[in-house]
Amino acid sequence: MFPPGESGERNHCLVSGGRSKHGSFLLISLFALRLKFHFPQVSNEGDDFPVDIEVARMSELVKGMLEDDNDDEEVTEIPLPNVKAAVLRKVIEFCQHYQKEPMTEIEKPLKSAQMAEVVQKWYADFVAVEQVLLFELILAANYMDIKPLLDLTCATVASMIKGKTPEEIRKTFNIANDFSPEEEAQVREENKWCEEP
Amino acid sequence: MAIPRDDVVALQETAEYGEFIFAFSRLGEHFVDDVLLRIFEFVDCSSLVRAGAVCHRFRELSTRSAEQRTHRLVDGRILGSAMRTLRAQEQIDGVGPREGCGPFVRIPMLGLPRRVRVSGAGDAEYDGRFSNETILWYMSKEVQDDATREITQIFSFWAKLLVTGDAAPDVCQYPSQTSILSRNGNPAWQNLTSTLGVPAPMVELLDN
Repeated sequence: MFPPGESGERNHCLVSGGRSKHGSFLLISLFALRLKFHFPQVSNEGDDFPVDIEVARMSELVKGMLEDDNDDEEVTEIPLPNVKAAVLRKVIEFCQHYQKEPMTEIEKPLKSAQMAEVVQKWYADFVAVEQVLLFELILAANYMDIKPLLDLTCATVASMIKGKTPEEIRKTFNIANDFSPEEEAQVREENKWCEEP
Repeated sequence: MAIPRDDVVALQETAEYGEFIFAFSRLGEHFVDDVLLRIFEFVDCSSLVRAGAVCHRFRELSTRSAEQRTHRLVDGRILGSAMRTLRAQEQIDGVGPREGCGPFVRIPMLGLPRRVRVSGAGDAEYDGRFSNETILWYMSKEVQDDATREITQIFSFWAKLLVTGDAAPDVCQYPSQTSILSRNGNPAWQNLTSTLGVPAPMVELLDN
């Protein structure tokens, strides 16, 4: 179903991605120095992404698969059940840019709620996306084990928490308040020390 | 049975694939907590306290985050609250407001029935012998306003509390032995904004 693809270049190996109801697959074929991500037409999101092998190796998951792949098979499958093709595209975009401009380490805790003040502009713009996509990126970065992307996306969510009241946080992330009035009063009392000057 | 790797539709119908998806979804339950903890790592204490007031799950995870981030401080220092300990850690790291506003935490230390001597503070009011149940990580004094008689506490110096791993045990056992640190060229008690230009004191143990 997911052929290695036809890059026409022998110095490419192929990473093919597809989307099923369960998510995406990466099919990696090791020929040489480069990888190519290929989303076949069955996914209805077909597109090709030539990717340097160093880019793909930013994912500890992929890196491990590449290192462990000792058999003679041309194609290695990496199931990504929780990663949609659209999200995978963003992941690749991040990894590609990272090779050109490595992201500065994000200081903990955040000094500002503005991502542009804690990381380079490109990265701040990269995570200026819908919340749903941001969460998908976090899950993808976590599963694919891409630390800089995970840091960036988690820090972005943290920036949305920073300085907000509990009610504002609930509203931002659509979280239900499951405290009883008594519990809420107790929490407020316990947290008093932090609110007092 | 051979796993039909070339045929994704057939692959998805195999028991092996079903087991994989099941295992992965179980794993997912765990890593969502991990992800939240990772997010909380970027959140300062004040915001973390507020996040903990959002819902039960956030409360549990924000507390766990504070505990994780302060595990080096926990031994030997009792604040009775992971959040307060986190704020103490932030103060040590110079995060957030130091004086005037924002939460401020005093750091009680163990072993303080023992006496310490403070000398060379640059402000004579800090010099002297002290034996108390607690010593402040921030050195402070109370100042009374002559006109209003109002008493305010002024914080002037701070010192990084050493824990085992940062230095030799004889230094770590009591964080006030700043003369040892100074001799080695390490920062000991240091100035706050209000005392810039004033020599920071030395604090030494009198009984060992």
